[in-house]
Amino acid sequence: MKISPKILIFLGILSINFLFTQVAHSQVVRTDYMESELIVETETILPGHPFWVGLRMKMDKDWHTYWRNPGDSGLPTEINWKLPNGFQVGQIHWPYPKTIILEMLGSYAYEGETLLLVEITPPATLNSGMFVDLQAEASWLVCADICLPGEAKYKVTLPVSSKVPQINEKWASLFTQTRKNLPVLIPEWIIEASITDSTIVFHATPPQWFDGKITNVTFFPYHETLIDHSAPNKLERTKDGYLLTMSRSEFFSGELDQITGVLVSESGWRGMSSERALEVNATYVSQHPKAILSSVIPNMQHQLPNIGQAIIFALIGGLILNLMPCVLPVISIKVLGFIGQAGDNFIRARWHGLFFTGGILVSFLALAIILIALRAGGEQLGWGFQLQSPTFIIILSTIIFMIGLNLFGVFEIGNSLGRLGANLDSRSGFGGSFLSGVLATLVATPCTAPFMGVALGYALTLSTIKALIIFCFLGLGMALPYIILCFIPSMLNFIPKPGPWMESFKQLMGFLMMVTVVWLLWVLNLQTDPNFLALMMILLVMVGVATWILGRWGSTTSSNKSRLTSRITSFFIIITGVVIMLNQVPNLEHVSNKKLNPSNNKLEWKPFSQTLVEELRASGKTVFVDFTAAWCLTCQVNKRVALNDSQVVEQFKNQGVIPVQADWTSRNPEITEALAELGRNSVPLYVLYSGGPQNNPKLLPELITPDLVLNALKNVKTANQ
Amino acid sequence: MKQLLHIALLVTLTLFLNGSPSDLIAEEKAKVGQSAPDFTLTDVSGNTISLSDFRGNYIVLEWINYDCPFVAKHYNSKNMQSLQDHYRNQGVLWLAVNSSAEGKQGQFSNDEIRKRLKTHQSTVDAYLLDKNGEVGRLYGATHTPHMYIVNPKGTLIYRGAIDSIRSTNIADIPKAENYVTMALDAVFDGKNVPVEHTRAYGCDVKY
Repeated sequence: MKISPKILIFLGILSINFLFTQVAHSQVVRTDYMESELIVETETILPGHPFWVGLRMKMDKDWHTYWRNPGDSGLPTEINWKLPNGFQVGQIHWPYPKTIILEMLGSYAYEGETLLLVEITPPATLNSGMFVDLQAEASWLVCADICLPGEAKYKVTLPVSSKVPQINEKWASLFTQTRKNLPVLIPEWIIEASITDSTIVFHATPPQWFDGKITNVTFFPYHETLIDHSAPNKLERTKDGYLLTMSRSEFFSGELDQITGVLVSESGWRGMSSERALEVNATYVSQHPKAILSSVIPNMQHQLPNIGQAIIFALIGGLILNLMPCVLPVISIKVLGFIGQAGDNFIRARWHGLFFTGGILVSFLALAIILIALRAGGEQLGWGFQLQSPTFIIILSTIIFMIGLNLFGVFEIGNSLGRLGANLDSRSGFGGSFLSGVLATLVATPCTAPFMGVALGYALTLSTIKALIIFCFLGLGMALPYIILCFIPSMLNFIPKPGPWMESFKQLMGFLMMVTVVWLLWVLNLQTDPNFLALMMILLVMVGVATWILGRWGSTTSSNKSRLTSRITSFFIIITGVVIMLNQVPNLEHVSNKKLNPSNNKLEWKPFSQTLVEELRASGKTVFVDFTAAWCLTCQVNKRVALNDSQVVEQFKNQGVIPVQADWTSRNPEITEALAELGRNSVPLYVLYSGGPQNNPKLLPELITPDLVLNALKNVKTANQ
Repeated sequence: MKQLLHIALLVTLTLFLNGSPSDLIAEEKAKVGQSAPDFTLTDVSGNTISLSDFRGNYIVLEWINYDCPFVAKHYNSKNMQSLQDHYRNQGVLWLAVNSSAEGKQGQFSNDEIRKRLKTHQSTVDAYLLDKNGEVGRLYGATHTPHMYIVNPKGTLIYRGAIDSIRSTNIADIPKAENYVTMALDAVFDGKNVPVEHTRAYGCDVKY
């Protein structure tokens, strides 16, 4: 039978078409829960020149295949090649995997799409124009909650050409991206390993040129029974590098020539955005891990100042204290008193100044000693601790109220504040100055916030001597304006000459004292309840009456008898009132977090507990902890300015950040401990946890702005991507 | 006093409420060289069976999941069945244990189990149902197959993988060293078990 030429041509065209479809075309093989394909980077083969192919595996959602060391379960993907004569093929180059933990088993696997790279070297003796078949067979285990073995065959046909091979556009970016995830060898990173009964420890020394920071490290060993794959590791900084401690596998026999694998860090090993996977070939170190561990710096240390910085902070802080409503009136009145005194007898005035400063310094030191002693005795205390006690607030607010009344002119008291005239009676004068210093300090304590947190927190972790020095400088800072005036009388020229304005100024300062009383009462309200507050206000009224009695009948213009009577009466009234109040102080254990979410809080704060934070971190959530207290002004301002800002609230919601509030208004040992662990003992403190328990927390500064918070959240987002 | 009571209560509560993924490690008690922990389970025929019932015999515990490709490797090749037959003929008792939770892979109805046993021609002395995973966790069973051997005195003498090649490939079976064979043959010869503890391979137990 004669075959029609048309049919022949038709068949010819068909076969040429078929041939063309074979050229550089491979098939995507669909198997259970995934698809796979053999892809080639270049479009042609240049004889004698190696080229790259890859097994592209794309798993369905929730399914994964395994790395060269699959971990506790699973099997690594295997590729068997069938290549024409003379072709050489290398080992698989594996991009770094991720750890998948199921119950107590940890595996190293790939999710989504992955490419396993292989280099093929064609022989030099190929003829241009011919076609070459590359065939492979791959087998793997693909798992989600169950596992299925899979296999497929692939064939790719490539033309041989003497021209420079062109990159296959379709796969260029996949090849490039995968190469970024291959482990790189950076010999300048020195990795040393040591092995104990229960751990495998790496010490990594960065190269000179490395200016980044290594965070969040995972080690993927090539050896299947080296480490416990499901156990978390611990990363610490040391003097010259990093220490990674991993749990040793119970099946490890302790015999290995070298430890090999891949160290992966989110931050690149050559700086930000560089390669994340480091090829490791660790040498053994004879030095016992304990010796290495002794050079470990606790994580928080790089955020704490050294003593020089702390002293400067203390000095500046003391200076700023002078502007606080608690302190300004006291100091300024004293300064005004000095003006009057200096005019008469400069040397005496200088002595007054020194005694005043002495009073301040001694009080600060006394406070520091009390705090240190109490902490040594195991009490969970922090700076500002005084304000956690309603008793203290009752007494302090009474005193400040009385000072305010005194400044208004309701009554006069001896030599301390009221008298603006010169008092040249040396003994009582100096004593009075000293006492004013003490009083000034006492009244100032509630106002120690910005600058104080860091310096004081640091101070209390140091040796007693160093802590006391820092407190000294705090006092010096506070007394500084007065000292300057004492010793540089020309500064007086900046202050207006004495006159009637001084009386008005004094009364104005009285109002500042009242502002302080209002604030203390607000704190007291949060610590107790409105009924108690009403009692407190009645006490203040009684104090007002008492001082009025003192002022009306106890001034120097009255007879001795009435002065004595009025003093006794007012004293009696005040003392009785205060004692009754103190007896009313209820058992305050139950008062804690009732007031967590007043209507002016826009975020939904969860009450703090260590376990809550740990649980949230373990589940990978981002947690924002706000260590705050009602008596902490900075905290309230920060809340109003930053934490209630609509953009911040929005961003919290978008990123799923959980806000946790640690309310330190009343005594709370758990919170005190949590603060201590972060290297602090005062509020405010803002801590951002993200990315799981192995990440170090980020501490925000004491004064926060919406931008600051938004930036911190943004950094968390990019770090986790 | 009241405070002490308060603290004591708190501590007790904390201990009781400590349920976590580390249950496996916390409760695991099967160590080679020590007494194999006793347990009581129901088998596929409805009988209640305790490990201590078989004191005086060598017992093999085989953690099983018919649908796991690693278990299938040993059943499709008849490897597991031949082990079962061979050693049961020598007086060893073979107990299969399934710790798959309700609805998870490997958990079947009793009828289905009987069907599989018949299809595979597998003879075991009992197929035990451990649906809540208690016994699996007690023994620290992490994979299927996971093999345990108990001697007549009740001491655990082997725990770990069935053989030395971790794969789903049937062709690997003759190439591998079978640890169960090695252990039982050794003790029948009056010798010590050469390999007492290996790392099991297989699918994870579907607790």
